[in-house]
Amino acid sequence: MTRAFGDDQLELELRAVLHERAEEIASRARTVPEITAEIGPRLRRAGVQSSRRETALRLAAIGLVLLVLLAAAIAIGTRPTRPPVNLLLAVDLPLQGEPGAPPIVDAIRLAIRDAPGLTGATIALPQDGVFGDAVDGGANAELGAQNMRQIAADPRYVAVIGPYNSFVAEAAIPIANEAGILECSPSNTAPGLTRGAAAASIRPRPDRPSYVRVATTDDAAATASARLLVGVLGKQRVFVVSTVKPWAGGRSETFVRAFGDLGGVVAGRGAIGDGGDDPAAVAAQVKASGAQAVFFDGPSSDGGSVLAALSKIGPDLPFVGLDIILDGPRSAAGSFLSAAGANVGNAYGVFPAGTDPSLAPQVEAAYRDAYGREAESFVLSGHACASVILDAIARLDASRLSGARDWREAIRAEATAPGRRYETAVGTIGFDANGDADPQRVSIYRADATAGDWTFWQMLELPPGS
Amino acid sequence: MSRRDVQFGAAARESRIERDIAEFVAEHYPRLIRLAGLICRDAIDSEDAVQAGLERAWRRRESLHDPRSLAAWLDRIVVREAIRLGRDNRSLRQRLERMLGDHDDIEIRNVRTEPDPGSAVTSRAALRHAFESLPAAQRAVVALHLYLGYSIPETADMVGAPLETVRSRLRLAREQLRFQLGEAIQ
Repeated sequence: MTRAFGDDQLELELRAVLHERAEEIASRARTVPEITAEIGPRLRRAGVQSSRRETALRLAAIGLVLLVLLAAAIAIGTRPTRPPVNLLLAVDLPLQGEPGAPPIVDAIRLAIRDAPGLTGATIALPQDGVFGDAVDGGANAELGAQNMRQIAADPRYVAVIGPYNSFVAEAAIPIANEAGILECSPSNTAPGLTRGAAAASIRPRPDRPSYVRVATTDDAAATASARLLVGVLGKQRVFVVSTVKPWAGGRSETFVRAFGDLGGVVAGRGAIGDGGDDPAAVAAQVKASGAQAVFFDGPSSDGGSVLAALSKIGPDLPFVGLDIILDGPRSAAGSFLSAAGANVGNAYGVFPAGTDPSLAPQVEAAYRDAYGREAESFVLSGHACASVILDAIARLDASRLSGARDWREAIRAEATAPGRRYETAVGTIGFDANGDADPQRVSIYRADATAGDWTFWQMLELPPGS
Repeated sequence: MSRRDVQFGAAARESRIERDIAEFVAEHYPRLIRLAGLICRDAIDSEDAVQAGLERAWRRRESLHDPRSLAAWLDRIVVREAIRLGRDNRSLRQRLERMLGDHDDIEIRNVRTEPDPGSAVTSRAALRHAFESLPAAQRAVVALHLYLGYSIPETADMVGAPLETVRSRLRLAREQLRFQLGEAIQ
């Protein structure tokens, strides 16, 4: 056997641990006679039934084949075959100025390419179904709404993937909801899109849900950050750095509440950026506070500057930030890692979506093969949205649906129906009554100081109601 | 053939099946429960995975062309079932913990041992905790490769993942174990 584990001492120790744990589980589990008594009757029934049925099954199989052949002959001879209906997806994303958006289109095409064939339908993302909602390099809610009106008015489109930005979604959701077309967003994180009075005010047809998202909400990501610090990294005292004005819907306040609920203590708070202190001053405050870790939410380069300043004067503390700091490698100008310098090995970024341990690597490899670059940012989420829609289509009975309008309504109803589960690159998920992914998961990325880039570290799942 | 002969034949057949089942379970259960125990969170989930695997394998045993590959086939079924249980996070224990507000429900548990530098026992406990904290898919490849001694290509076949994915999982597992060990003894 090769030494692929690559560390002889660690491997030796680990083998001993594996042996110890295996024996412990075996001693706690039921014995061979007990387990035989438990499953024996079930296996016996299977065995007896199989031998008794063997002859009968052979005769039945022959009869069945004859019946099927007869039925097929009658059906072919008397009924015309219905051609498959051609269904179209649409996409609404800021295709200029937002580097994370165009790869989502590629991910959707990949999901369609690799999906199993559908019965009674074909699905495609046509070039004119890719709508851009950016104006002058930034997403624009008005254009997003205009796109959605155009999509909704074209019956060929049966579902939409997007929008990318929450403020665009706020403008698009009422239009999609009125038209009854399914929207799946890979990246919207604002809690108000799905919960409370704000959500109710943008749904003219609350009886007909049409919006789902695979990204985790901002408040869930902030809560997950608290759990990362307390539950995984074992840190009880944190220094919180944020902007002077509320940033990204006040995620740092959600973090502070969740951290306190887990028994943690906020050792101090600092402000950075416009109207705040300079990075060196914030770093000094962190050091003086005796904090065991730093939580950051604000512009990524400001965060990197704080970490760089902290590296010069203080202990090597875990530095946790939300998705904003996951803005590329050290080589990307203006990124968190470029500002943070060399000492980033203890920096963690919380990305608002899960990473399925089995499917995500497969999707990433397929993406790399197809497009010759790494799958970054919301590629897995875009693929997941496509998977949800493709799965919903596959579960429908094509023989009961006569045209694209029927399909649109059936896809909306299927995707938003309670209890449905979808195996996607962001994990196996369903959607709650509000359209939020269930369960809420985040992916933790850790900075690799040597490579100067972020690498996936682990996934955290939040318990219901947290 | 008389009715009595038919009944006698049926009884003999059932007796033979019963003996086959006992041998089947006795031969494979001890290995499978240990394997599942390395992937699942506890003995209950491990038993569930093994039972599901044994039942599925028994029902489909006639489709196995080479009897020598029965053990590997069973391992494959049980590993996949154990990963599913671990990934779905649906065990009764975890649900109860969630209902009761236990914060152990996140994938990695915070039961770090108080450090006692230089103690082999502490180091072993930290390593064990670190292993238990790995995602189920990583625990599976570590268990298959290091505990049962399957090669990496065999392990990839077992878990139904590409070779590179298995190598990547082993590498991630090693890095996380090293990291957590480092944290535990700081």
